[in-house]
Amino acid sequence: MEVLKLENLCFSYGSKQVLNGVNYSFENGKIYAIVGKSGAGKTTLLSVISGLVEPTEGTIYCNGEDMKSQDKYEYRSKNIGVIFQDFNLLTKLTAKENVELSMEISKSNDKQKIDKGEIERKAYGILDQVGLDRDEADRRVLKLSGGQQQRVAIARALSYGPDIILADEPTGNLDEETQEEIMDIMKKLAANGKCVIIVTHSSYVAGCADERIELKTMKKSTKKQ
Amino acid sequence: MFILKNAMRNIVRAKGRSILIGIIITIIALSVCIGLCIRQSAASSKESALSDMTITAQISMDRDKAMSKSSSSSGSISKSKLKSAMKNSSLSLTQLKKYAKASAVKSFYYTLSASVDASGSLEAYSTSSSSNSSSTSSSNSDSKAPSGMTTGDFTITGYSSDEAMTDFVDGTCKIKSGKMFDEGTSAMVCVISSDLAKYNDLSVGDYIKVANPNKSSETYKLKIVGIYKNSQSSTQATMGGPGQQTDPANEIYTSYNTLKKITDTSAAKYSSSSTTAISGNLNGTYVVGTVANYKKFKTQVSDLGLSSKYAVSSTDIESYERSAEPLENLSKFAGYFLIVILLVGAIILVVMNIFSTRERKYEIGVLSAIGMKKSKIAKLFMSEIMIIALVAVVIGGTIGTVASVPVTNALLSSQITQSQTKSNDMQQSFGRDNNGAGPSQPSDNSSSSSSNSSGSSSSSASGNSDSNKGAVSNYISSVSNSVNIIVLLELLGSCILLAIIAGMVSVISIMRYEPLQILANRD
Repeated sequence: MEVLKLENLCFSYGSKQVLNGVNYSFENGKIYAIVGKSGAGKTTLLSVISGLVEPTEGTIYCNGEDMKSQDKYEYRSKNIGVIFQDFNLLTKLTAKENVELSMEISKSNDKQKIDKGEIERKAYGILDQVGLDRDEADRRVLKLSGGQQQRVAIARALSYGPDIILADEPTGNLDEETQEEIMDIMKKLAANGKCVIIVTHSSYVAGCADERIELKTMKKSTKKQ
Repeated sequence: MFILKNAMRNIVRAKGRSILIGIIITIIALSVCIGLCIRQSAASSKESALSDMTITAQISMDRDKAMSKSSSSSGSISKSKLKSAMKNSSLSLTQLKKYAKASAVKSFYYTLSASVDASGSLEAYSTSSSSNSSSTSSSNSDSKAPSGMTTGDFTITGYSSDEAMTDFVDGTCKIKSGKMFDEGTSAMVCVISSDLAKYNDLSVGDYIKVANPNKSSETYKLKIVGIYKNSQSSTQATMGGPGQQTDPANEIYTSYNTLKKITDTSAAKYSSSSTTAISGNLNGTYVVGTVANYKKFKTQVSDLGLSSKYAVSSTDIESYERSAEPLENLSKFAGYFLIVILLVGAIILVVMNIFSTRERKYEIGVLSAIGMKKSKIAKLFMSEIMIIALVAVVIGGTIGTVASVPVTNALLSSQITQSQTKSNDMQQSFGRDNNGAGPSQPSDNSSSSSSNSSGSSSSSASGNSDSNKGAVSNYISSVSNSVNIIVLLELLGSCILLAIIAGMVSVISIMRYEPLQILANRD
């Protein structure tokens, strides 16, 4: 089922056109790998999809709804989960607190009641899903390894149950073994019905994707089964 | 709630930063609290002192106006114009009584005072330091006549009623032997001081003889019906006296009617144009009670037709204002101090918050990127500084409340010392002994202080041995309680305002930041 649709999406930094008429549809239950040369606009596309920047032209439909009609903060805290290359975790907080904060923001934007006990239980559960035990969950993120921090970032992106997961080079700073572990998590997410969109340079990650999108041409190539 | 909870968490997490901001706001709150307390003390002590006082008012010639009317366009004063303006400047008893009908007046009394010389065996009481000035003025009086304002050995004051005898009313003077003359009597009786009685070996029932200072052959005999003891050794003009610089022991009290009889008899002996007769100085005192009534009285007398060349004044209010001078000075200083503290405090907090917000730029970027609205981030940052400010205000306010009274009193004491030193220096500059009388008092003092009818407790030099000591003791030298709800609200308001100003720096920064730029330029 189509969860995200890009229609004639354009973006430019001043006079420099970065994205030029991108059209694409994303479905749930699949992993998409956006590849391309450096400067092709991969991260920009991710930023536009995540609502961090406005497209100069074109429309993004999320679950059939035009993104422009939605509050971009609510959109970010409800419809999509973003995993940054540098994790972008709050370093003074523990792994669990990072996940909890994300859930609280989402609930606050939704004007829902925040139940501290429920949120804590849920945070531990999600962290457990991504392979972090209680002891690791209660550690400040700076005391965790790069792979563990990436897991925390994934857990945070999943915390409020978005349909779309956007990941910018999620394995860029990790060793091969950890890359595989992270991709296993991504596969599980896709298997659970999430639409996973990954910007990557890694051929391994691209190889794990159901669909590979080369940004320059937006050429679609489906993985051979 | 979500914002407040997270603000509390952030405060606890960033203990160092929170404590530093807290200490700064506490110091500001403490200083502001003390400053406000000083100002409040000054205001409340004025209010309570004036409300405790029974305010009296006097009507006298407006000398400044007369002077300005007599001066020409070039600024020089025409003496003839001034003299004619001052001539017959005293209001008659009928006129004084007319203004007593004003509704603001609770009661009215008046005094008549005159200067007389000793006659026969009677001698004016004198101490070694004051005998010179007394004898000088006395000996000069003959040569200076016919001024009509000659200062004699004694000041004889006639009182309209017992109420007018304020020194007896407030207990400064007490009858030691005999009794006070009857109210309104016209019999030739008087009350003299115990010092004068002892000096001349006089007792109740004896007679004294006083003479016209301009004509020693014109004498009057008064029977002593009482001898009083003055507990205050001061030369200040007392009980509506004319303010002449007579030793208090040489004050003779009698009834208004008695003195009026003497002045009338004296006047009948000379032609109307002569100034040789004993002249009386009539002073009316209007008891108005409160400051509000005093203000009302001022407007009412002009409605009753008081000429603009007269002015209404209150020696009670003037006296209070002089006594409150150090406290008022301190209050002014506290006002400037408050402004400086608030300005410096605002600058420090703003600078600190600029650095703090820059330091937390990444946090702002992450929160925004994961969906927290900028307005909520701004509220979060504002809440943090507000919570710290509230805690700091409570701590600073508590310390300030405890410290305000001793600090105010210490500062007040230093102010009084300064005023005292200034007064002493002034005395020395005039060649007067700090503790003693001036060698030469202007002989025309009696005319210049005609409006000063009641006792003043000023710090100004009065040429008396105890004048400076008296001045110091009359300053408001301590305050007891200065904190009230208004001070606390002002303190809270000032510190909250500072916190808002500082917090606005964060708010503006947050609104300007773009999450993607922050996260992209994380280094």
